Amino acid sequence: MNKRKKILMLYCGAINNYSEKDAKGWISELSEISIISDTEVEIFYTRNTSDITPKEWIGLAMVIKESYELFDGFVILHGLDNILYTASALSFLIQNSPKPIVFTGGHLSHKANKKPYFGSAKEVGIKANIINAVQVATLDIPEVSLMFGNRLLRANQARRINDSSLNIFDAPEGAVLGKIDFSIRMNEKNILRSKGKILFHKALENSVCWFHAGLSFDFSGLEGYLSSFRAIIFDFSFFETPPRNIEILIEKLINNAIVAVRMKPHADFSQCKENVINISNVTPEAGLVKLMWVLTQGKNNREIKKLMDKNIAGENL
Amino acid sequence: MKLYFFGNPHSTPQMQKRFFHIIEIFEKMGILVFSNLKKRELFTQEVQKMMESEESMIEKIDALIIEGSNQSFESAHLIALALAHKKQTLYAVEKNKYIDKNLLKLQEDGKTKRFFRIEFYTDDTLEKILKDFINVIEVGVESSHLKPTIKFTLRVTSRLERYLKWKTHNSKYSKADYIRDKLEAQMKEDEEYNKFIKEE
Repeated sequence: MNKRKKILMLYCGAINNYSEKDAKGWISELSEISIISDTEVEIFYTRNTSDITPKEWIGLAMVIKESYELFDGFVILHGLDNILYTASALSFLIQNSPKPIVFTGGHLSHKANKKPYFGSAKEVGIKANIINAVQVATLDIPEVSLMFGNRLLRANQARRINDSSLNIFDAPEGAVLGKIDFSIRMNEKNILRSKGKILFHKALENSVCWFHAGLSFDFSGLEGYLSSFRAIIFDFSFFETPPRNIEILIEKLINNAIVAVRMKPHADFSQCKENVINISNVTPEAGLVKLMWVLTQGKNNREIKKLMDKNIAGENL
Repeated sequence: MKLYFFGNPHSTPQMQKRFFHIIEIFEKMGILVFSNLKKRELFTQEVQKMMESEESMIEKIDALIIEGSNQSFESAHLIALALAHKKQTLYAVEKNKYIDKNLLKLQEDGKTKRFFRIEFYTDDTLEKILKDFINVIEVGVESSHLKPTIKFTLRVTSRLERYLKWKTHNSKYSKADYIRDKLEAQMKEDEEYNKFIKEE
């Protein structure tokens, strides 16, 4: 048998508002993982992950950067809130990583996880998620992934589908990296093997607004507010044809800000031309963090659009 | 009963032969054996369908058996999962072979020792060790707290359905409980079957 692998497990708000002591106590109940690898635990974030911000995403990437040479893989225990944003962000902040970075967790609340831990069937499922994630982190899977239920998914293509089973997330067939029946069966053809050098980034543009376009109200009063952002993403993915009032708003904003749209594949949107970035080919989470990353690359508008079209971290659906 | 048998596929041809002998022993006992060494096509459609379901397969088995003379990372993962699901696990190793200290610790750990056992075998003792392990599990299943986990569809006539409904109406028993109890009682009284179990 080859040398035992070293894994860094980062606790990132897996259970709402656990103190550092409680989090450590909870993790200590996972004695089974000691037979898979030498796992070191670091408590990174103990608040509810609904409060997580880009600052923490960058912090997480920097923790991994600092310990990158010491470990063979990384497991991040994350609350379900915002997990797709954090995981997508890490796929842009740490590019071409030859080592696996695996996110996992489950429906965990402070109340439900008082001692004895992992007593209920659901908690056993979460324990299985963590065991599977640790196993994935020992393997040659150079991706930022999500391990939930019996699926290993590329994180920046995943979407939340189901809260009633452990398979909370799904992804297109090409982003299913592996499935678990008894052991992990890898979909080798789906795994991205970048030949590029690993790149750590430590900046994301915060001045981005996500505008969820609903009914066609009079948006003229919003122009001033929205133009204070460097970039605005208009999400009208539920419209066949976007409301004319939103088109007018975009026309006004386009000269002062980066405008991106997310819409149905065949939507009729006359404004989606030269200066508007179409991010319909990525998940909402990946689209937002990709734009936040691209905006820090110091490019002009044309180059930003070009970079947004490029498949940076396997995010394009 | 269903179990999963894992043997390191990179073992010597002689060891591979032993793996299939182990599978054969279990199958002769009437156990459905899943294994990393068996091709999926060999299973019935029903079993294949089960393997493709969204649920964890470890949950659906009664026990895990690992031939650990040639250790592998995959077996460590399987043991960890089986223990998390509180499944009985047998780690069978050829006599005088090395065992990872982390596995030895599982036998001492208060939380895992009930479910994990290591047995050293020789050619002469292997079969007995395997059968003893199954017997221990079966006794556990019959006598106690283990929940019925095997699911199958039973079609009955409307006459039988009416009877079951009448029998269980206003009682604490469900129809399934009633049928299970009848089967348990029948099994205990079945001398031929009990003789068969002892011979096994």
